[in-house]
Amino acid sequence: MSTRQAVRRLIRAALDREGRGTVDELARVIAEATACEGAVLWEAPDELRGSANLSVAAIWLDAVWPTVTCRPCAADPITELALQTGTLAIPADLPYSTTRVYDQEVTAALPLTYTDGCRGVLTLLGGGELTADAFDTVVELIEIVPELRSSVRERRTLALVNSCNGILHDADVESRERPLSRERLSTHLSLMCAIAAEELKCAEVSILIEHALGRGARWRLLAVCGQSGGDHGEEIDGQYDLICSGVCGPEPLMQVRLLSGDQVIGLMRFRGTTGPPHHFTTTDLGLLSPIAALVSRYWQNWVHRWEICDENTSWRRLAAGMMSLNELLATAISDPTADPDYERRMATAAARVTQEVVAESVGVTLTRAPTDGQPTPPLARAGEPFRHTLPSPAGLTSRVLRTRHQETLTEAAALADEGIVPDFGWLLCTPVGFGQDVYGYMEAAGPAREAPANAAQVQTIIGDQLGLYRHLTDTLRELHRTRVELERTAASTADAMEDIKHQLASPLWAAVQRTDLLLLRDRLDTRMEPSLKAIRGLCRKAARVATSAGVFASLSRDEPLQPRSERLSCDELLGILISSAADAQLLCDANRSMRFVVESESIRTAFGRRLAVIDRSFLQQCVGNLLDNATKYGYDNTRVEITGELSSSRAAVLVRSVGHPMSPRDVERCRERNWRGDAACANVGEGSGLGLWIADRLMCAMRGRLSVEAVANTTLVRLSLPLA
Amino acid sequence: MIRLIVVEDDHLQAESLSEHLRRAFGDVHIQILRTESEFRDAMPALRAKVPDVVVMDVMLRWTNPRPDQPAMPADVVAGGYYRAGLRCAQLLFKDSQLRDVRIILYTILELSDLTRNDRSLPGNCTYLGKNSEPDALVRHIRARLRSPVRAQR
Repeated sequence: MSTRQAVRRLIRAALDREGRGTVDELARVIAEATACEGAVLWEAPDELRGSANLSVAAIWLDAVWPTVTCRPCAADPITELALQTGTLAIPADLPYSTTRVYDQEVTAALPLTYTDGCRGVLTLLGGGELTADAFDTVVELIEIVPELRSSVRERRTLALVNSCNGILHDADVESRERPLSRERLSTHLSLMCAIAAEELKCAEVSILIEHALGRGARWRLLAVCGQSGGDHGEEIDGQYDLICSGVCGPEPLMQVRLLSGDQVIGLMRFRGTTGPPHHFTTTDLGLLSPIAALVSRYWQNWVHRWEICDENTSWRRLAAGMMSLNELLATAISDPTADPDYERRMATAAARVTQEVVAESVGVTLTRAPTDGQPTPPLARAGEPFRHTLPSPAGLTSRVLRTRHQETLTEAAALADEGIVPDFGWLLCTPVGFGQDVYGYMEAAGPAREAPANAAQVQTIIGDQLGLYRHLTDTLRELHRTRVELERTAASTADAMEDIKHQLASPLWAAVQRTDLLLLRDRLDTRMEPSLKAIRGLCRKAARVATSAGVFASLSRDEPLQPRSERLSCDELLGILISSAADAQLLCDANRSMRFVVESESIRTAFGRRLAVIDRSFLQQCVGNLLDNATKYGYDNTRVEITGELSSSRAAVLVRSVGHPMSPRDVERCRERNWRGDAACANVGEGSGLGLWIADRLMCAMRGRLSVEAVANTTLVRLSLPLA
Repeated sequence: MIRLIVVEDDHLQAESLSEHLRRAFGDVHIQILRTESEFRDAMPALRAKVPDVVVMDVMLRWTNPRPDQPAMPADVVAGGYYRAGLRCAQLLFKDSQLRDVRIILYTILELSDLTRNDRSLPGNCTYLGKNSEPDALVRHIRARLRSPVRAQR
């Protein structure tokens, strides 16, 4: 094995034992390999630019390391000589005082050329002369140190990038559960800055992010590590505007851009040094590029998550806000006339919801559309006022009301023309309306350069909702007015019907009585008697219709029917039924051959000595209506039978007829007001659907019950009568 | 002999009306049609023997129920029972053989009820309220019989 191979193996083995082998560690291994007390690696970074100043790139001193290494040191004459001559230099005749580095005597200096083309020197310290073996080793070192240094730096670079990536990855994993707060994120990034600072021997490492809000400072400090500390919320003014340089000013400074595509979104800044080489090199700057790319990529992930989180929060707030507006509307709807200040309260609530949802909007106003072309003051406001003056009749609001389209202003001149105060950077105007009707407009403003992303959509939703509310309340108010008017009309109609009933029923019943008197006479013309009976039947029917009008009037006014109940014997009940049947027979066309029959025995069996507690006129009305229906819907040549039925608790009168079959649906609903069965509508035509409804109401008023059964074309109506 | 058609679904009114007309005109043939469907069924017979005057009730039931009755035509379903007489008058007016038959709408309804919503009566119709004196109908029929047939088209 050659000396070179032996030295290389020796040094590599030594470096590999060191977990975090640095260039300083390389210096230590070299010193130990050459049996010296220290070693210094110099470099002349600016030599290519005409300066031969040497600076310390790495150092190890057995006695004092690392306490003295934090300060720069000037090169000694031996080292300078090695650089100038390009050969090994030793302190032969030079005075002791001039050949010392960090207070250590120089043993030898070896010229080096690093792999990046930069020249340098390896200075061995400790005094005394080199042994023959050490000399051989030193000669070999001239060849291999540049390569070793390059290798160590590459390994360190990779380790640093991996460390940074690990920290960023950990933060990213943490943020997947729930987006990180900016404070928590700053902690992660500050840790990354600390590792970078240690690696690059930098006094301060910081990350600045573009500050999108406001018109003042552009950068905001996101994370920092190092001597100056700093407030993470600090806004950085323009003096730190983008610089990308290796060495800058009296204090070493380097900055690298954080990019999103071509857009600069931030800076990573390194300032000051804590150890050799006490300056930043282009190699250092190159090292930052992958780290900056990582920070940029992860930052965009976090921003995206924040945006999603903010958007979700925004929609949740909007939903909650809309619910509160709906509750306000529900209260107003319950009585459209109760709250005269409803419009203002709704507008105020809507403005407040808008401001809460669009967090960056500092002020929101709602204004009615001008009725005479002149602007009006806001109806409601939330947050700060942002207009000096009322809107111009030819300005933004006028355009929005005319076009019914939302519009945003961000130009300073346009905002000034609108009378917007200087601190505000955007103004968004949204029409409030429903369909073609525009009731007013909503304005919101804020300090940023652009309107927030959700502002337009949120305002459109709330504006449309307010328009819908307004349309709804207007319609309800109109309906309310109509209902009041209808109620008034219905009441007067009911009064009129009541009056007609009284005026009609009296003369009709008088006519019936007069006819009865005539019919009681012994001698009547054979043609006269049926005519008189027909007249009596017609009068009874007319009186029944008049009574129906009165009942209809009472039911229309939701007034309870007041029966004049009396105890009727079976014979009295039969009398009512027989006279009703006789009237129906007279009123039915003889050509139809329908027969109306009262089964007296059946009635007597059912009622016997029991007394029915009923209103006589109510019962006449009920039976008359049922027989009218039987006439209308019964087939020709059939019998309409009136019979009695006795159950455990009640006695009932049954009216059975044969005619158009009723469907189950008809049976279920035939007692409803104005219900007309399909068969009745399709086959007969006439009828209003009131007869059964009135009969049912009358029976209920007497504490009786009306029920309907239908089997094939037979219909059975049962009048259950209360008994004494 | 005068041929009169009385379209009236109330048999009591139809009977008294026909008796009154018989007394007034003597030599008269009166045919009573009691429902709208009966009127439609009678159209061929009317074409064969064209009547001189038709006395038409307006609120007219479609038919007397029977198990085998045909389905109600669509125009009757849509128009309902309240203006059945006007429908019958239109049928006459649209019929090339019967369009000149004089029709008297004899109804309890007011003329304004019939012409509501800008409706006009068929061209061969005149109106007479049922609440008028019975002789008024007789005079009306006589006047119709004397007047030349000039149906509006």
